[in-house]
Amino acid sequence: MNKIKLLSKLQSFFDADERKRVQSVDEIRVVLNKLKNKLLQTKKSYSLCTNEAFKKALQLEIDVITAQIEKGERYLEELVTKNDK
Amino acid sequence: MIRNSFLALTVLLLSYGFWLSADFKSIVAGISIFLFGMMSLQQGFKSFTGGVLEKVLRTITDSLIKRLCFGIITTTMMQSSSLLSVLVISFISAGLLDLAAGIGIIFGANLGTTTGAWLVAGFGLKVKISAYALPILVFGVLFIIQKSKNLQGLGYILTGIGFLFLGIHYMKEGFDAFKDTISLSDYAMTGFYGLFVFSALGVLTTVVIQSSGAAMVLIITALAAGQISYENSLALAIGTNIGTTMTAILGSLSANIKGKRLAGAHLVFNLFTSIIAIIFLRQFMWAVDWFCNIVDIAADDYTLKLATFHTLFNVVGIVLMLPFVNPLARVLELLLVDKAGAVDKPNFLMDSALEYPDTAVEAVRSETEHLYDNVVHIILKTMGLHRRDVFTDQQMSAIVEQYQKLPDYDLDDAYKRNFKGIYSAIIHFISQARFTWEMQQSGRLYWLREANLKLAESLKGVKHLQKNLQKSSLSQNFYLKQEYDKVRCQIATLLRELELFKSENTISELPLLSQDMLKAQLKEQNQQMMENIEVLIRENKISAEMGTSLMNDSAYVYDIQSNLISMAATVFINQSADSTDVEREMMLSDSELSEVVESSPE
Repeated sequence: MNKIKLLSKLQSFFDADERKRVQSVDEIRVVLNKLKNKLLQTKKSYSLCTNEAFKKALQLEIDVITAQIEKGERYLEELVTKNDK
Repeated sequence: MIRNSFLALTVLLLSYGFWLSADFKSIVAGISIFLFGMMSLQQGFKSFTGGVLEKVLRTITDSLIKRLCFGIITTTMMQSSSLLSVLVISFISAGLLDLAAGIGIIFGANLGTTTGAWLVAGFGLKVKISAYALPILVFGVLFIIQKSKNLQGLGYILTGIGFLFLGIHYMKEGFDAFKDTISLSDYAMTGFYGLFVFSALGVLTTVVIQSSGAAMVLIITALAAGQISYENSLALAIGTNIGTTMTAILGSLSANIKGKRLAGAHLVFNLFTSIIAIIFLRQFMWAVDWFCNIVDIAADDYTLKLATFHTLFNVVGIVLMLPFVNPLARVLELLLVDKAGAVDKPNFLMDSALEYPDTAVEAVRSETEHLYDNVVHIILKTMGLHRRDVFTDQQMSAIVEQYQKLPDYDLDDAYKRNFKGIYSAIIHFISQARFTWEMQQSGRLYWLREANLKLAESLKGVKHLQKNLQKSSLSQNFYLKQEYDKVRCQIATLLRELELFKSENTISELPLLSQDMLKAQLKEQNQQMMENIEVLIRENKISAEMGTSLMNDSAYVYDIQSNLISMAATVFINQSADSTDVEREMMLSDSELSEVVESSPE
């Protein structure tokens, strides 16, 4: 490992903001995975559902989860680009 | 009254004693200085550790050995189990620690207090410690007057040690001089009679001094001066073990039933240990001699032998009682039953909870949950519904259909009786709990206060809604009635869903994000209701006046429900979960939710 790489590693170790950012990135990935699984399950329930009222509620749930995933991905991208800068 | 009389009597007796004997004055001054040193030491550790004890306490609940070690180390460092007892009682009362964990820590603390006897017998009486006391006191005071909190804490610790040394010195001097005039050893008693009398004397001394550590130092210095016999000093040591439980019992008076159970466990353990020590005194004495022989303690070094005895019978007590910690906790839970808390009074806001940030937050959270239950009761009563129906799997529309006639419910009276008192108590409690060194908890308290405000606002909405709900139940207009039934149905359904959040708060996956779904449903229902009202007016099924009232009420319904959802996000969701911060970032804003609802296909 060259000196510059070692120094940058040390710097990120002592940088509390950076540690928090890395932790947030990890957590957001976990939450996004959970949301995607939930979306798949809801979509499956929607395709099997025959009750119109229930189907409408499931559609709303699909829309809400999709919006949450989009927001989460935007937030993740923001966090990752912050590091690149 | 009794307390004041007792204080007056003590002052009179002490004054008489001081007038009678200068040596008595020296002994009592020694005890007082020693006690003051203990207080200073505790003060130092309290400000010096700044939340470290609480942090450790939160992480040691998984292992009995860890709890024991925590009790031993903390008490050894502070030379008193009082601060630890208060801490453990506060944590148990707030529900942050279970009874079995608390018992383990108290067992450890009991053993930790025995180290004081070793320090005094092994060091305090063999070295001229008064020579160290004065310089330590000077450094201590020098640090106390510094601005840095850590230096101040160190200063209190140093002055504590200085005063402890000085106290021991005065007690020793007093007993040494005392023997020239009166020899207490003339009153020595032998056999079981002496054992019981001196054990009782040990209990009395500890209860009066309110510290087993100080009582033990007094016994050791008296033994070193030859004022009491070795055998009687053992009985006195047994007595201090029973007497010390009084401190825990007094401390638990301001705690709830959980704190009282811990004090009960402390009493059971110390009584059991003392009975074992009394019954097997001969065997213990033999074991002490055997141990002292091995570690090269002289046969006539009675002070160190007393310290060995004190530690030994506490170790035996712990070894014998450890397998019964969980059964003991269960028995105490059966014997000291938690009476159903009053609905109109705070159940969790104990003074003991104010001692620590975590316990204060948990107490406010639990009390807010209690207040929420009362709000649910008021809302359901106003809508003519019952808990027994709403919180089941029955279809909500069928339940609402079943109760068409709304009772003449006095909401103002219910507000005063079931809400205002607890609400005021919570706000007062939060204003008392000011923690500068734990900003996280201060933030949590702020959000909990906001949650309480949301509950108050939702009740205000219910108050506005009540008049029209009652009017509609008497109305002959089928369509108007139907719309108000939908309102009752929507609110009751939300309460049912929030009840699920409340009971599943630890296992629900992504609980904060799940609340977006509730909010979206709310927006959709509101939108649907507005459209329905317009259609009903257009088709002349309801009058324009009825329609505008319904529109106003739909705004109240929306406010009631959104306030309840916001409150639930703060109170029912585990805020310490890893994903909470990220979930908060990903939650949809009001405008984003509106966008989702509007774009969702009909």
